[in-house]
Amino acid sequence: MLRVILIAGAGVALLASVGASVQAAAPETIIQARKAKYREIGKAFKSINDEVKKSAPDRGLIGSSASLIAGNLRQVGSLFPAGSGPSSGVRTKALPTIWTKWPEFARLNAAATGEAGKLVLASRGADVAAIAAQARSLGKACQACHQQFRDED
Amino acid sequence: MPIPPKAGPGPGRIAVWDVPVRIVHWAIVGLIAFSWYSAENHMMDWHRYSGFAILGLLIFRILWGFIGSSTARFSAFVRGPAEIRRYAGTLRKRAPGAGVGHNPVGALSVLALLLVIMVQVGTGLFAVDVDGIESGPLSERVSFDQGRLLAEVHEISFTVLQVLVVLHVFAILFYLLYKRDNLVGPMIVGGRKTGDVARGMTRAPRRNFVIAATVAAVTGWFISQGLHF
Repeated sequence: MLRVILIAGAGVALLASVGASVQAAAPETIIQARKAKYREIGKAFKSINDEVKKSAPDRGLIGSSASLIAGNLRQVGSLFPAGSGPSSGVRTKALPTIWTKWPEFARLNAAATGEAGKLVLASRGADVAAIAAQARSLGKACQACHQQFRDED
Repeated sequence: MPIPPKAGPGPGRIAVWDVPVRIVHWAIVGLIAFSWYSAENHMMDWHRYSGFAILGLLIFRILWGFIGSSTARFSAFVRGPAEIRRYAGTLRKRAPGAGVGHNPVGALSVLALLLVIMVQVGTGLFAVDVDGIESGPLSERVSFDQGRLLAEVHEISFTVLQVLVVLHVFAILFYLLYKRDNLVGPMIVGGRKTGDVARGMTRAPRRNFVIAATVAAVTGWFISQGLHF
């Protein structure tokens, strides 16, 4: 009985803390964390493209970079809570249409995640041309979403 | 021994600009416009090709500034502050210029344009886009952050270039409308009416052109390929 109460109590405390942290997260914090995640993607993609340009690319580095990208893309759903767009007053290139056309945004995100996963698989094979082609497919999937949902300068 | 001018002159005309200078000038005009267009429209493959072409033309033009025809040479038009001040003092005279080739103030514009285009091409070679997808051929030699910084410089220096181009066009309009001196004509056909200048441009030997063009093409090619040997 005591155990049940303890577990329940811990559960309630955990929920409360999650609720508190969500409430406490200012748009600035959310947007900064989001930018950091996308920066990681950009950095990882640069190392993929640097390898692809070489005659003997480091396939291990391509694979780990691609799985980092896939991992970050899977978090995208939670990186864009309602109210973290330009209406928050914080500088962001995230367009308001992300929230008005959420299913389309989620579809493009899932497509890009899939392409990143395919790149992880391709990096396990020795076919450098196939790796390069898959890196390009991933780039196109990223850009498809950016064109629609990211503000240009 | 001075080689008699051939480009553009007829009776009462003298040569001002040789064919390579004119081709480089107008090709760079077209390629800069195309680079702008291709970047705005996310045609990054074309943007790179355009940049490589400008790189080759730039290397050629700099070499031509040492071994080209008389009016192409830096030694013929780069002048010190005293000479620049003296010429600037004559700017208000409503008469075509007396010299053949760049005047001392125009030389500043040439140098500024060459320098900014060099910065433009140089930063483009290393630039990385925000997604790490598009990049210049030398970008693997810099980090993501360095590549992003250079991409920002690339953008700022393009604004500087736009300002210089506008200034350049205004200066030409000033010469045309105020001083009644058409500078565009000679840059197209190569020559102009004698005026009070007796001698025109001294043309460089063909061999010099072959050397400069070969060095520019080979160097430009290797850089565009990421300097892999």
